[in-house]
Amino acid sequence: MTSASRRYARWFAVGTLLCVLTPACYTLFDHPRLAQFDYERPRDKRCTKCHAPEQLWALLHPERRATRTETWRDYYDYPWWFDGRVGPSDTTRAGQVPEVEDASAR
Amino acid sequence: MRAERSACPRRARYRFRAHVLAVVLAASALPSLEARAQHTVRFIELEDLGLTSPIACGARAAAMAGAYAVVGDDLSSLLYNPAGLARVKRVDVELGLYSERHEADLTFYGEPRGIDSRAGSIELAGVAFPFPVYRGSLVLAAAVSRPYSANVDLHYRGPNEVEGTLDDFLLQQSGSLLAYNVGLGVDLSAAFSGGVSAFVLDGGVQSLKQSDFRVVGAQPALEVFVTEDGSLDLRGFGARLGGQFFVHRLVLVGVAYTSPTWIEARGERLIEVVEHVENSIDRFTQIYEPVSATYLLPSRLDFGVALTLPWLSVAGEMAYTNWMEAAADQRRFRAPNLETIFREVFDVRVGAEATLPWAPLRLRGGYAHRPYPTTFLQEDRITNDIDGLVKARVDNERHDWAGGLGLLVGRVLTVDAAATLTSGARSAEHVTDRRESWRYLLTAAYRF
Repeated sequence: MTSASRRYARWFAVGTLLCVLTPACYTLFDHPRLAQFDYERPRDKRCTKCHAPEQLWALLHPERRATRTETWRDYYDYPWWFDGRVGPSDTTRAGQVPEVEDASAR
Repeated sequence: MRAERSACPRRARYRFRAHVLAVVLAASALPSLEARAQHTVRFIELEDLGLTSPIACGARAAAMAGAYAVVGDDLSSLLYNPAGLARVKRVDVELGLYSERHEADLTFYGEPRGIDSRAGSIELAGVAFPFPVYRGSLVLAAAVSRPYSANVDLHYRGPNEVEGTLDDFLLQQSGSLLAYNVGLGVDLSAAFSGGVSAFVLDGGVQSLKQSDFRVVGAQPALEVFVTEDGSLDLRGFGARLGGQFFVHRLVLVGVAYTSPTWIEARGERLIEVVEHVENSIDRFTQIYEPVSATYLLPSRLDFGVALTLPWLSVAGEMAYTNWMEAAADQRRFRAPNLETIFREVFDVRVGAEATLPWAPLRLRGGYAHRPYPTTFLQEDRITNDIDGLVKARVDNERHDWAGGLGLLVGRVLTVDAAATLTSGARSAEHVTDRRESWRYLLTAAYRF
């Protein structure tokens, strides 16, 4: 391995490490524990008991994320783990005022 | 320089090769010269194996001329910028097919020759799985792609004025390299995604070289036929790291770094040499030898900006590759005067995707300017010796023109089609090399 290759490999290892370690900073697999209320979401409690679907949608599709026309939004942006039809209305962008078709799900 | 050589150096070389197994013995007798000659062979192999011409995989990306490091948001992102995986929200399964047609116009000492070859197979298959998350995104993906095609047909025929011979050279080669990719994309902030992927290359190449030359004016008349039947197993690995950043709701910036790629080639070849001397008994020699080489392809840095409107995405990208870092058997490629054979290359790609408001249809187009990583050509493919390696003129740098469309069927299936045209031309004093490749891709993606 040449010295240049070793340098590249080092940078690559650092980048990989950052990618693996930093998701905890933003991406959350589960509801965070709310220390001020000493609250932790029970596993069996549905998100929509407390959150409006539009809040959930916004967490996955921040306003800055790419916009799509209605036709393609379902195909690309609708998370498979969303049970009900939860998503933005035809006239809005991702992350803004979604409409709820089946809020009872999840 | 070459014209000053003795009257028939090739005859002498082949006799030497035929009688004393030149490759082995010359290595011990003249180690440095033989090493340089072998290195020239490696340079030619590198080009013939297609390792200097990576192919755009995935019909959607190919239709945008590979300008996909910024706007990629599906399984194909794994191959361009794994950060794009973070935008996958549903399980994505893709299968892609390709068909290609190569046309080459070659001129050898003023004698033109046209070659036409075709190939086709699966070019992409894979799956992306987004983990259920409360916030952000984490997506794992695995895919098999076909980034390098080693299908080459070459035919030169004509009077070699330098060597004083009548040459006929034919190369028929088929094979490709598959890349087994795994990677992940993750949201690192509301506006920034990162991704990393690694790939293992695996493939095989079969080649048949046939050449014959007649020494002009030799008494008695001499004609030499050489057949070289070889096969190579190729294995390699590399990795990719990328990021996508929404600097504005409509403006996306992407960067992707591909590490140097190590490729090991192992195989064997059978060389048969027949020397036909007028009024004499033919001499037949058979040489069987193992072949091995290690190639290092340089790293690559992609950078781009995209405008993403609901009905239109436009992406402009640039890639930097320092091909001077390419090496074979840990040695960089140099010409007889020690000039580096390869050069630094900046690729420029532009792609656009328009979404029709009245139909579930998308139209795509793209253009890429991909300069040749080397301007050198081998004028004498029969011997592949270092004296035949000459600096060529680039008459027409490689350009890709691409177009395609995507159709949404129901809410879960897309069918993307693409057609790309790649063309380029180089020429030296005695040879010209003008090539055109048509490539058609069809990719189906199903989202669960």
